[in-house]
Amino acid sequence: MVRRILSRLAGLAPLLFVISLLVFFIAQAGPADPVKDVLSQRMSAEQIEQIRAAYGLDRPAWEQYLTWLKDIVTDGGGLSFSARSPVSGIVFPAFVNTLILGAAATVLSVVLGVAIGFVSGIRHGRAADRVVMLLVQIGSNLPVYWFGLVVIWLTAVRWKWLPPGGMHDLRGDGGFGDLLLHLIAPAVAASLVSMLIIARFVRAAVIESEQSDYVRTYRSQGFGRAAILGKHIGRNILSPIVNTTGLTVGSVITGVVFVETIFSWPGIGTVLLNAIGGSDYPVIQSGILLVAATFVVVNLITDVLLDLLDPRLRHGGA
Amino acid sequence: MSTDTHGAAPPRLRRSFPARFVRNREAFLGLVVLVVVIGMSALAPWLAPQDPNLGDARNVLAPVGAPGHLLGTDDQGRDVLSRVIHGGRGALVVAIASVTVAVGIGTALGLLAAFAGRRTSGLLMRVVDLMFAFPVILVALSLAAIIQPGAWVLIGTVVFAAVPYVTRIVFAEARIEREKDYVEAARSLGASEAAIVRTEVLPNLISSVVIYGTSLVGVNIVFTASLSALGLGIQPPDADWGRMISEGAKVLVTGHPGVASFPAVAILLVALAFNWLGDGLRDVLNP
Repeated sequence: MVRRILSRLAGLAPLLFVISLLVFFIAQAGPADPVKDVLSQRMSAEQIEQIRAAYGLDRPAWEQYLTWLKDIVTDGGGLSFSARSPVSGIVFPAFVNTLILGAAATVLSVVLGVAIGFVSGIRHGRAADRVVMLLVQIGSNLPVYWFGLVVIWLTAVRWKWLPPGGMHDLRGDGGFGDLLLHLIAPAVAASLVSMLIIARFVRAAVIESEQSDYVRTYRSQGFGRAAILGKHIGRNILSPIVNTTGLTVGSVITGVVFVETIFSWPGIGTVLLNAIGGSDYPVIQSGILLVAATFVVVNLITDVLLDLLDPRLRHGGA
Repeated sequence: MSTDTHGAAPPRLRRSFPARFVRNREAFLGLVVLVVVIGMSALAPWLAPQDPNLGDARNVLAPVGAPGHLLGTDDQGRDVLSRVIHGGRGALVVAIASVTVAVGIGTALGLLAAFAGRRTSGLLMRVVDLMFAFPVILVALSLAAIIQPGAWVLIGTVVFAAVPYVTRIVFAEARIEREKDYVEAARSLGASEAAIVRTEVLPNLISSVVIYGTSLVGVNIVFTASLSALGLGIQPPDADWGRMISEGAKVLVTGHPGVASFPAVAILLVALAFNWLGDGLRDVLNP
């Protein structure tokens, strides 16, 4: 077991290396000279050269890569081109905000997705199932951006239940309850796609297990449906649920970036979109690298969880 | 459908492909919607009642059903109906073209992985698995940083997102085909591995790939709409469904939901139609 986890950890290194190379490549392949783009045009060629040298843009690519990597690891990515302040001060707080929203969206998509899928699965073919599946089909074909708008319009404008955006009430105390209240609507919007993927998956898994031989055997021996559902089917589809959740983390991240702008959530998506507008490559690179690394780590956690859930591995085997 | 009145005729087990297709209500409905929408987009310059980019400052936010503006006008006084008719052109071309490219690449990779040695196959599928779950938005943001927001960002992102799906499907099916007798027979007759893949296995996978590609187009029209809404995709002044959603966002919250919602409904309808067509084709082609 421990050896398996260690080997998975070792597998991360080449992956992170490739991702970091690709992210480094973004600035190399960018459209124009970032310094010329951002700085005033009144400067002479020599002054521009000096600034390029100060940012290390005059050295060979591999050297820039190593310096860049060192900067990322030691102080979070050097200086921002446009704000001329440390990148870490811009990227990290936004990243934490995104993490909060992403975690809430993941929890929502698992809880609601499993609930919807389970109900639909055990009512397979009945009216409730048909209605749920129709809604699932419509929901999976709605643009997330528009769905987010409708959520704001309903919850904040029409019914006035929830705040229309932001993370905290500016006049409030900024406490945990306040954060939760601001979190509900964007989390629902961001979780739409992954929630429906999980719901479809759980429904199919429940239907399949209900028709399997072992469930028929239990049923013929007089076990109640609730007991079979809870103890046997539930346990058997637990690890596929974890697997599917891991696979939908990418969708959650994408969903979060889509809704951040709508809900004025001060997260990494907003920062990255602004940075792209201003060709601020240090910010773009650090932001993308941070999110990609998070994705890789979450993937690792999913794999380890799956190993832990697998009874064949639990008892010292493999 | 059939006109045989001879009671003695044996029941036909399989109808012809067009007959089965028309009998499949889902597929037929999907096809009809798509023909209408694609025809409308192609003929947009002649069909749209107004210039989609022509604003009228004296007639902003006209309600639905206003004279001359069936779906009202937006906050710049542009005719929403004309913009909806024009707004699908970019999105449809982008989604269909990039899914076609992705299907080509994915089929090639899937076949390669299925017929290559264990090590190549393992490495390839490991990469594909990672791409499969990767947050695609990062690809879109990176591309936007390199080549500036526009249709090419959408194309690159959709290709990246769709290739792993197609590769997995083709890989799984090709592995099954590989073990079948006809492949063994071809091999024993001296056919090379490449010839077996090209002339024996590939034709058997075409229908699955077409079915899958059809559904992928729908998924990606929905996805690229959100990218365009964020400003990463098709740029103004071109009318675009996704872009219209974010432009209508400002006025949606002030009680003019139509400006953002008509394009959203158009996207929903087209995406559903592609899904219906895909599902229907599956029932017809792979019963």
